[in-house]
Amino acid sequence: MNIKALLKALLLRKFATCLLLLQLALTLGLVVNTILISLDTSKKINDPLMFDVQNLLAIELLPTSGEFKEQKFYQSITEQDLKMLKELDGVISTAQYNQLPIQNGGWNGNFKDENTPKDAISAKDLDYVPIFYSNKMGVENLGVEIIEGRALTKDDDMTAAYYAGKRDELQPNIVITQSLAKAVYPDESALGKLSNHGRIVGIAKDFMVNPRWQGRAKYFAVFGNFTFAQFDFTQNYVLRVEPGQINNVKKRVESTILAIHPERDILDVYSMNERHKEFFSQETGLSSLFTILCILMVMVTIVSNFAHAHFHMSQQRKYIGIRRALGATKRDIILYVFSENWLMSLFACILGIGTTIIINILLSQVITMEKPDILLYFMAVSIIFISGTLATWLPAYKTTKISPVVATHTL
Amino acid sequence: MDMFLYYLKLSKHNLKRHKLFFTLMITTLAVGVAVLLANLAILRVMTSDPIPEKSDKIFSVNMNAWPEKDENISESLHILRYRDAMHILKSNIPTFSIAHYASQVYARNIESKSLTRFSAETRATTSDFFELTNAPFAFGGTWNNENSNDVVIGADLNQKLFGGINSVGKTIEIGKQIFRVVGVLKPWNLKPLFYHATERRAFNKTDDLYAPLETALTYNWGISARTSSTESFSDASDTRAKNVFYMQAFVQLENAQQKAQFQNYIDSYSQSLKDSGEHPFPINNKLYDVNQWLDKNKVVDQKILAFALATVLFLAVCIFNASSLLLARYHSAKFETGLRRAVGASKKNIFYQGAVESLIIGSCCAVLAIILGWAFLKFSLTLFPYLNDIASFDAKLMLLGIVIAVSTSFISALYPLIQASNSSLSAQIK
Repeated sequence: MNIKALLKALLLRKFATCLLLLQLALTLGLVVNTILISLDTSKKINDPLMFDVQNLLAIELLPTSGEFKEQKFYQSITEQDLKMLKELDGVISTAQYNQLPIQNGGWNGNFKDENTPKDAISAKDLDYVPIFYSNKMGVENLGVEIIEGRALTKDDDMTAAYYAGKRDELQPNIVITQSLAKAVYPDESALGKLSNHGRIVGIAKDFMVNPRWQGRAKYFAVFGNFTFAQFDFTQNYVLRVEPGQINNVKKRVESTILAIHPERDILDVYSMNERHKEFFSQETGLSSLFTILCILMVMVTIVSNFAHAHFHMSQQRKYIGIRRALGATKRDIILYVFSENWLMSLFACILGIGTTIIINILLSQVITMEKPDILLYFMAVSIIFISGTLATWLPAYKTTKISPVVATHTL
Repeated sequence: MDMFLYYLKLSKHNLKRHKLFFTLMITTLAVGVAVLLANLAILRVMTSDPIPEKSDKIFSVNMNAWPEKDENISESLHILRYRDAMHILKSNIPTFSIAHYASQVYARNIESKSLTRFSAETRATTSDFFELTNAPFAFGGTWNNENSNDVVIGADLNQKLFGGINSVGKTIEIGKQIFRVVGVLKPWNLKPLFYHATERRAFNKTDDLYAPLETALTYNWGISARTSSTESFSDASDTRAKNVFYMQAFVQLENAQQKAQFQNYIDSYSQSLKDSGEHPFPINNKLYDVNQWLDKNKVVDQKILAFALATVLFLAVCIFNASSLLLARYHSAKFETGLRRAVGASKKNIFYQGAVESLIIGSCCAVLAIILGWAFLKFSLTLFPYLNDIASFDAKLMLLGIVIAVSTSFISALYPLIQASNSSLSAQIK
């Protein structure tokens, strides 16, 4: 194959060739960065959650009547709710929570050993440790195991003392997660230690608390046995159900709760799985948008490739005719047309390295982007080659129809 | 005019003759414009100035009054303590100054036979709130007493509770307490919600209920936005005397001098805290005007911005595509052009004819782009449901769509046209 002749032919249409090259390079850049965004999203979504997400049903509710300002009343209704919900068919256990795992923001506090000197600087991630208040079932109800020490019991319930105004004297027993224990007590067992949130009596297996945080902080959590009953604070119930029972139970939740006391606003009932999906909905949304744009861009590029080959060939009818007359076979001609496209793609791939990096830099000004790698780049390059080849197919086939007689027409 | 009509006829003829070619070109251009347009529908509202008449005069007050050194909070914060906020309100430098916090209550019309209570997003604030934010009153006005049970309600809640009538003087029940309506707002669309642009609330609706700050605290209406504290507190009224940071303050300062005076006022307050050993960090108080404040809180969704960047690139690719298609077309029409030149058409005429053709292409593209853009926006909203209230596909945007479509069509035709009209006469008729 005579590369020189190909180059010469391309140079005949400098402007169109440059446009196509730029187009291919931009498409390459976008394809690589789209793959990066999609991979990053799927990595986030597939980060193991390590609790029983498939079988948890969550309910968010608020009392609407002033009666619930009476803490004892509120608490007794909460207890009745949980009891009745547990009696529903398919429900294994129930518990109330001041907040749920997998959320932004939330109820966080700093966590340190009680004997930490006042001016010691703590790690930043220990300043925002999620504090969960639930009943004694709190940890188990989520499907999280206690791996050291014990679970909380009814004797650990600090509700009465808290509401009796003794909150400052309280020294409750608490359970913390493995990662948190290791972060605060790296060289010794955390069991039995006194923290600023109470005495650690159990260590729970790590589970995903806040997927957006980095490293160990994702798994930080403290559990206390406390029925937080505040009139204007959203109450969360979580029901752990038998496999496959989510939808059946879901149907009966609202009526069960309102039958106990109607003056409640059931804000939402959803499975933990839905919560997880919803949590990442913006990431998945963005990656879908990029994917669609990418497909559109590849389609436009196919159109351009097609048009380029088509018009280039019609322009070169005469030369192709001459070549055929001089003995070139149909195969040679097809190869010639394809080679032109491949040569374009090759140049585009070199240019594409630049556009990929530029687009990546531009995007990372506004969203967090991973850096592109060679493997991904070759994936994108193969997309460009395949789509280019497909687009050239028809014009290439048509050129074989050019009869050597054409050569004689205009001579 | 005659020539224009002739060009129009000629272009129509051309378009008909090369149907597939022009369909391809118009479709790709229209898709490019449509995707950009759908994106602009969202971005335009996100980047808009919510209160253009005085956005440079309203300031969010940020202070770094965190009293403990062992925390990692040294930067200035928009959340303030009750006492910091009260000190700001005491100053007579600003034209208006307000403090507020977000809450949520359930309200019921006392005369209603139904026991249903309606959820009301609530703003516990001070009486100047409405003057500062230019909130539009339909009936009545603000309260006079910060400890009274007087409230102002939004149009939505007025509709739910009272069927939209002038409800000034009517009473509602909230948490067993009786409140009197003293003002009703008109439907109030404030985007971004500059007075609460933090905690992802910048595109929330304006509140349903506005109540005096002191009253809300006394009745312990919960704080439903970011709250940070160095000590435990049991309820809202408990926060008055404690180091609980949750209140936001805004002031209206008319000029640079007033701003400097007020900056000085809050700095000397911080200095007094420092003198009494309550301010461990160097004083770093900041006043952000509305647009600075929205910028700082990145209310423009970064994901949408990233996508906007990609859509611009996509449009560029579409223009390149159209341009190379057109170039090819003019090449293949060389003979025809030569003929027209030979019978007396000047280079200018050829160029004008091409421009008319690109105008027609642009118009077709605009119509298609508006339809596709609308569809693409609807689709994007299913992926980002929270943008539903933000995006608006209105006449202005359609006009913008037309301008973009026609200009992109012209840009893509420019080089091919110059080429075509510059071809030498002799070469063509040979």
